[in-house]
Amino acid sequence: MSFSKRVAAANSQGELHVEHAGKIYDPEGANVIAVSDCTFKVPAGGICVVVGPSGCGKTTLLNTIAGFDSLTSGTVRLDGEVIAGANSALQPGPDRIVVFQQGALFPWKTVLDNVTYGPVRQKKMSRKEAEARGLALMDKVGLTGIGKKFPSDISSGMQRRVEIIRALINDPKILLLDEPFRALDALTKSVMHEYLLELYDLSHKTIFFITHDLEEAIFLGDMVVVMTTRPGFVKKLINVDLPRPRNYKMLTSPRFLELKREAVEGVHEEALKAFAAGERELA
Amino acid sequence: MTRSRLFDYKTLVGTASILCFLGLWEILVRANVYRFGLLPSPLQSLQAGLDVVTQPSFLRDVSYSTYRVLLAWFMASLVAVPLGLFIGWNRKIQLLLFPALEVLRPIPPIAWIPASILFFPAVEPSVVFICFIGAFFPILLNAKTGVEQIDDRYFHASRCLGAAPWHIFWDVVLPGALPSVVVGLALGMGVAWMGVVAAEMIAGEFGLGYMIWYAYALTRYPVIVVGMVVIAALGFGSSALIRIASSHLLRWRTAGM
Amino acid sequence: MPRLSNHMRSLTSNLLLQAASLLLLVLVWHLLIYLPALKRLPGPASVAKAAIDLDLLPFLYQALLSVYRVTAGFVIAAIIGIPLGIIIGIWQPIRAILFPIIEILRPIPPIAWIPLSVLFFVGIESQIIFLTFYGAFFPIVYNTIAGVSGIDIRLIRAARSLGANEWDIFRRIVLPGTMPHIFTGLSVAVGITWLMVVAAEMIASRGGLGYVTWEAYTTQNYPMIFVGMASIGVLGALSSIFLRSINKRIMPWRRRV
Repeated sequence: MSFSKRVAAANSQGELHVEHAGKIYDPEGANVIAVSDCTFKVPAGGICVVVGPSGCGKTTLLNTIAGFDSLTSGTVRLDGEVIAGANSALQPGPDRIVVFQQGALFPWKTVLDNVTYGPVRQKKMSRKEAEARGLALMDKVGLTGIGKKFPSDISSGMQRRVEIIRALINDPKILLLDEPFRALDALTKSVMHEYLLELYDLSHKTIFFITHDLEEAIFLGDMVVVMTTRPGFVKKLINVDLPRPRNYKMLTSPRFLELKREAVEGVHEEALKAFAAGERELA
Repeated sequence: MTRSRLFDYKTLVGTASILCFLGLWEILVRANVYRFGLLPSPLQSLQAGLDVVTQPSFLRDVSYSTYRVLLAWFMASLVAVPLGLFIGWNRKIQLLLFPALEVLRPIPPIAWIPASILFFPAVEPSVVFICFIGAFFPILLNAKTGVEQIDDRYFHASRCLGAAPWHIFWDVVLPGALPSVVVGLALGMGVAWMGVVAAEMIAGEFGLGYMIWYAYALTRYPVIVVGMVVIAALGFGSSALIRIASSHLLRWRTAGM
Repeated sequence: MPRLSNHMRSLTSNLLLQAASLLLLVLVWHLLIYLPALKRLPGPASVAKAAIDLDLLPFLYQALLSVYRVTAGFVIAAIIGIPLGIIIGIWQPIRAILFPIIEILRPIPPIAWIPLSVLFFVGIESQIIFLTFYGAFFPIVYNTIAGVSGIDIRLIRAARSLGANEWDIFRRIVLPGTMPHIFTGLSVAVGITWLMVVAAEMIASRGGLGYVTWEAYTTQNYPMIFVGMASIGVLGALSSIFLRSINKRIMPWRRRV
């Protein structure tokens, strides 16, 4: 299915519009411009991947969309409504759920309790219903039978999958992923990509994904946003027109390599600048 | 096979070392080296111990001390755990309540004894109060730091998933701080035992501290050692019990190991 | 600059809340004396008056006496305890011999040693200093051992591969790596030393702040009890702060307290 048809098929929920977003930090009185004047639009049901060197502000951007941080200028709109803007209140919520880099599964709850946490807490369904749905989702990504285990009992690949399901079961408008596969080895990573895309094909959620891995970005995304090093703004916007469903064979296709060249040209320069400046992630 | 061999080696050396220590002590007393002759020897203490343990006053003293410690510790936990959790969780509450508590904390429980005898005309409450003060601060502090070391992302995650603030307390704050809270409870128990001994020595009637002091006054010195050993055993045992009892609640920590 | 005043504003509101906390403490104290059961309790006003009316020089003498006893016991404990802890931590055979003895003695509350200390030591000063020494000794040794054992083996391997000899490894990896734990042991020890000195002084009646506090009680000079308690608390806090500032100097690489 082509991208536009998919978008039409989706329930057109989860359109993200970032307009002139800017964030200035003030640690100890110094003006640190983390993000300056970012603008881009993610259509409903699309996968947007943001890449850039450490310290380019991509995590700040994600935190702003999620509601953990505020902007100092510009706005972020979700389906037309302003969800973040200068001086607006911080309100994270189940319409935009984050999957965290180091994993945020509650270590003291079992896998199933983690997965059913959202629906049960919001009283959207009874515990039995939530568990049934949770177990079904777990089956879809190959996690049968681990419901009663604790997160420290399972491998990191499994943990990431559980966390993604924990988010998806709440039917969010947009799924935010903060370098979720960063700590995984390359082989597990590629399997994770396939699981993620499978879940995406089933749900067509808008996904906002940040990473520093270019291949991952192009493989997963419909659009790749290349950010500059601090102060971060949008250097390049690459449209990824690879067909869906994606498969690993595309990783060596000519079109993929062309896109990768485009992306590398953008990022490499910024990476060198960031390295020279000794940047550390602010957020 | 290697493991059991290692285990045997260590316990063997350990027991041998303890026996040597006791032997050395015995010899020093018998030979009246320096002033060691004035101290009770291990054998004398053992003898006295066997005598004392069968007396009804001993059971009475043990129950009094144990009762006081448990009561004080229980009350201290009831107050200090929630208080510590909230102070650790909410910055405003911390600023409002913590400075006052920090001012009181450096005052050792023993320094409270004269004041305590003053407040509470009866002996019982004054002793329990000292133990309470002793247990209160370690429990409070550990609950507070327990919350503070919970990584932010768990709070973020629960808010993302639609939890209301009171949910966050039960889902994140309490379980996340629990390991530290348990350490605090065990510590508090230890300090409560210290407090009970001091309070009973100075101001109490009945109890193990009182027994030790009384033995000293009556120059029945071996009983002093008996008292010390019993207190140590009870203190150690109660702390260990706390840790064992909480291991089920904390089983998620050792999962996968 | 608008941003600066935002920063300033939150700083001042924080300070106000903390000040409010202390005021709250004084207020609650003031109200407590109106309770019928606590009518003998002196209020903040009378305690403040007693503090102002103090005979400064004799009081300072008593305070310095306590400080001297605390410092002496603490320093001796550190001088003996730290090297001992390091040795036990490094050499397995010595550890196998000495550690069981330490583990057995540790649960005995330091206070329970008072009668034996009085029997064994001739002068009251040495009795008291033994007690402060004993109180400080175990936390210091115990934490030092834990520190040595906990050093990341990778650091040692890295140093070896870079050509370091055993003495280098000791000086540059083991020692700095153990410092945080040694410091924790020292902080805990400071608290216990103050506890011990107060208890010993209350019982021995030979000067010091513990004696002052106890005497205030026996002579029914109730406000003075609180002056004594407060001074003990202040000095205890100052000792901890002093220790912490030394820690910052010696270990600048530790960012968090």
